[in-house]
Amino acid sequence: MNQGRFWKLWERFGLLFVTLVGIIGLSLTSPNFLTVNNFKNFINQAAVVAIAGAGMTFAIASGSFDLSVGSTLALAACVGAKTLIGGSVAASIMASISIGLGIGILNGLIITKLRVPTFIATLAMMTIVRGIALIYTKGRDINVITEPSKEAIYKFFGGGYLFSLPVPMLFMAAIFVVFYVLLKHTPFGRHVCAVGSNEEAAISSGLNVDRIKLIVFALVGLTTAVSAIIQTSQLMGVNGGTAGLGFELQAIAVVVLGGTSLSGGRGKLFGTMMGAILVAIANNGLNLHNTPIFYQYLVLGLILLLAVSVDGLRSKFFRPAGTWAER
Amino acid sequence: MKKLESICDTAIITLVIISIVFITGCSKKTNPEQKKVIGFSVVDMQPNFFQEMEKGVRQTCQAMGYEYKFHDQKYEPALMLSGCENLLTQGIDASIISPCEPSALGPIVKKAKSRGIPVVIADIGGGGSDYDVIVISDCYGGGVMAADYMAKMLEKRPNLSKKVGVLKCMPGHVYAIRRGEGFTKRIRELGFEVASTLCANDVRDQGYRVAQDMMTAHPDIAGIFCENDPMSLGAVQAVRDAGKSAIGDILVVGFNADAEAIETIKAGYMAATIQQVPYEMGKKCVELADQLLKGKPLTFSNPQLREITISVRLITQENVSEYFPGKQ
Amino acid sequence: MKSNKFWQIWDRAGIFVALLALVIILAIINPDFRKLPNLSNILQQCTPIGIAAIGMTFVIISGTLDLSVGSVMALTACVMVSLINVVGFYSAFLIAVTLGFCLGLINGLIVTQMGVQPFIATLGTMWVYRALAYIYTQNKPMQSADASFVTWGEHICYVPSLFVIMVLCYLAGYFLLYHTPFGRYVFAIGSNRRAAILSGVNVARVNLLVFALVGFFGAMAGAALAVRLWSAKADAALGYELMVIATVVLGGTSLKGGSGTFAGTFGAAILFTVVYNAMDMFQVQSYWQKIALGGILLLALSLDGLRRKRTIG
Repeated sequence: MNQGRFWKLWERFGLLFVTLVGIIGLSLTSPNFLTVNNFKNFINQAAVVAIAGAGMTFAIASGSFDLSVGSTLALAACVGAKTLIGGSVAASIMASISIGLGIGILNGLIITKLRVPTFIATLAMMTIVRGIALIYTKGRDINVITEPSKEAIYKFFGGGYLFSLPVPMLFMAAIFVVFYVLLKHTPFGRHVCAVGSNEEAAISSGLNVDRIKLIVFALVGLTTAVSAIIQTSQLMGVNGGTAGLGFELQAIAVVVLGGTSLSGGRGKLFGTMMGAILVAIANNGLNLHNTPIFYQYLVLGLILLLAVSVDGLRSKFFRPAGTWAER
Repeated sequence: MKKLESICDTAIITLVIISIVFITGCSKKTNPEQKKVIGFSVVDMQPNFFQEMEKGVRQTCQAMGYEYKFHDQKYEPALMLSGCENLLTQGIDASIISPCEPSALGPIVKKAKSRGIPVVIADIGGGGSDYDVIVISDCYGGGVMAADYMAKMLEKRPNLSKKVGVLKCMPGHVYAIRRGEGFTKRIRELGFEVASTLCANDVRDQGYRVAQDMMTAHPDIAGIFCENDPMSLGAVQAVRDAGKSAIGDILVVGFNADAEAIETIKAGYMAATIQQVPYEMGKKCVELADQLLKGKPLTFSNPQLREITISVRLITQENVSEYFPGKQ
Repeated sequence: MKSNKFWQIWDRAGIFVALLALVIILAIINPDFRKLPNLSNILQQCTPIGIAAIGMTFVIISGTLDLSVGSVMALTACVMVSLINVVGFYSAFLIAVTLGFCLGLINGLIVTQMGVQPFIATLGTMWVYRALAYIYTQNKPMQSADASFVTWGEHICYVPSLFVIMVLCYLAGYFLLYHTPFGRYVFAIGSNRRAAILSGVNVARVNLLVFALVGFFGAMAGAALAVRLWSAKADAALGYELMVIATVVLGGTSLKGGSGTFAGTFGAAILFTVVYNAMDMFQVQSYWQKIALGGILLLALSLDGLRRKRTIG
């Protein structure tokens, strides 16, 4: 087949193809990889990153990104955990979600009202929120040890099964479906992409760009809070200083791996989901093979570079004149 | 040219700043202090271990009548250096350092020594520098202790395999490495196989994930030793999620005796942990600093390396109430 | 008009005004702060991030970002210190900066030849270079007590040698940016890429050089760090990339590209160090220090943002 068709097929199925290759390779070299238990393990791990990645996809599609999601995850998890020990499951979930939404909206306000550049605003929030989490927990771990009935309900989010499928996986699927519809089939979604493509044109067309950005950051905060709930439910505990460290770069990486361009204007949600799954499989596979941690960084970096290089070559094929995309 | 103008402006302003700063710097003298000051620079105030150590140092300083100045290195060698420099500037008389990077102690110890300030190293390592004394927990011995305990418990279950796993700390944690080394060497001597050694970067969530993967790769694993307690708590969770008991089915042993780990042992969810007593270490350091300031000679456990070791303790369900009565 | 004059001065030398004010206030309040050895320490403490920020200023003016600078610092520092006892300090140093230059070139090649966006390309190389540092050192610290190495950490009458090197690097960077065609092209690409291409600028070559410069100055910064610590480890400079970028932006260089000032970056590097130092002098609890730093960044850039809002309307 000619080059054009190859690239078109790659754009649609490339990531899926690589993931399948990875799965086949791992099941051949590691006998325990293709078990139900292991599947649950890596899909649950993938879900935590993927859900936050869904929100991040919106942010990147709108031309921004959010560096504070790691710290937001930590604070939402800490507040949720403490609330659970003292209160009901519902209160704990409400608390986490409020924190996530609150920080997201705050980010949005700082960027739209105070006109602070996105990079600096979210970077500053990253350090501030982390400091708050440390002060809130006094630097100690929070262990969720409470009544067994409460524990059982809360643990359902991170480790339970529904229709014999892991709950986090179902959450992930549900959120992605909703977000997909939001992005592709609602005016809001189209506006988000418009802002990402060309902000000035969007303003001139009469779009309330500030409001759109605010909602986008709120969405990022919301999805991060959901990720926090799932992770805390898995661990039944959290440490304010170390939870979510490096999470923001992971989230951005899986979005980019999934094919969403950092220039904005488009969002490939299912790509993000596949990206998160691929990274979880890679980590899982490396652990099963007893690989030292250094090689895991290497593999992560190489996967990312390879994926985006291939993507870059593809866009060069369709747009030979430019070096990197100028939109 | 406009650019030249603006560069001239900034150059002048810079010169002005620097001269003002140096002029004011040359004027005042330090106010004479009544009390002597002890400065303590610690690896990172996040882990419970160092929080306890800090408490030990601070409270002993207060009890012994010293003024106390403190600095948190946040696990960064560059900050360790600048923090210790800053403590020296603040006029400390003795220095206690728990270094995040022992190999970077050289310049710090040199500066302190050039001012005649004694240096006490608290745990971790001395990096070959010229410190006065190092107070060290027997991390290697603790690992050996854990191995002995695990072997003893597993001997009682002959139908289980002879495989165990180790969860390691972040590659940079020099002191934690010794725990794993002690454990691995000893458990092999006792006839067990270390089937898997994985890194969980010191944190709970990775301890959880990595333990899961370890159990997947080796479904018949009988015990897991974790180089610190946050990771062991994650591992306990992973074991419980797999429907097993972290005492009966897979023996999980941690290290540090953090408050949360003690809670978990009391609740019957975890088998054991090795207790370091960071509070005591902190206290000892201040006492040693006091002795050095008064010119008294020290008695070393290991004179060649100027070490004073503090022994560790195995905490299991049997003795947990004895050592940790009541709520923390 | 009065407020316009204020913003004009702010534009030109805002960072220095803030620095001057801060230093004066701190010197008055805290006797420890104004001691000469402390001020000397500050000048030395700001060198690693300060030097790394030179290369980053180039990159940001050209309109993009380089996230791999921390990892480059670590890798080059480790290689350098490991070779000091083998080939002597100066040769080791030369090898390290050459390595840094090449690492930067690789970044540039990935961006220009493979068409990858710089943010992502450098995110990937950040992980890869860091992993290489771990693998190369097997996570053991590299130490050296070599006299010619260690002596660079000393002072000449209270002025640290490293600070002198930093100033020289800044002058070099300044010259490169304002007095060579290369520098003009960097500005051009940052302001309006399309126009630059249409004007015949070899954008790919300029980008390549810009990334190589980041690598070069990154290696110099790594060397400075190693000199201060008499050692290097694979986890050195972890997280520095964001600090370096924040320094450049705080100094007045816009992330949109096309404008920037070295004087600003220089002032910002010193300002950050002064703030860290002051927080230590005042024994500020470490958790609050994080909040303070974030707050300063927000404050500084809100002022900037509000000003631009007023002029744009």
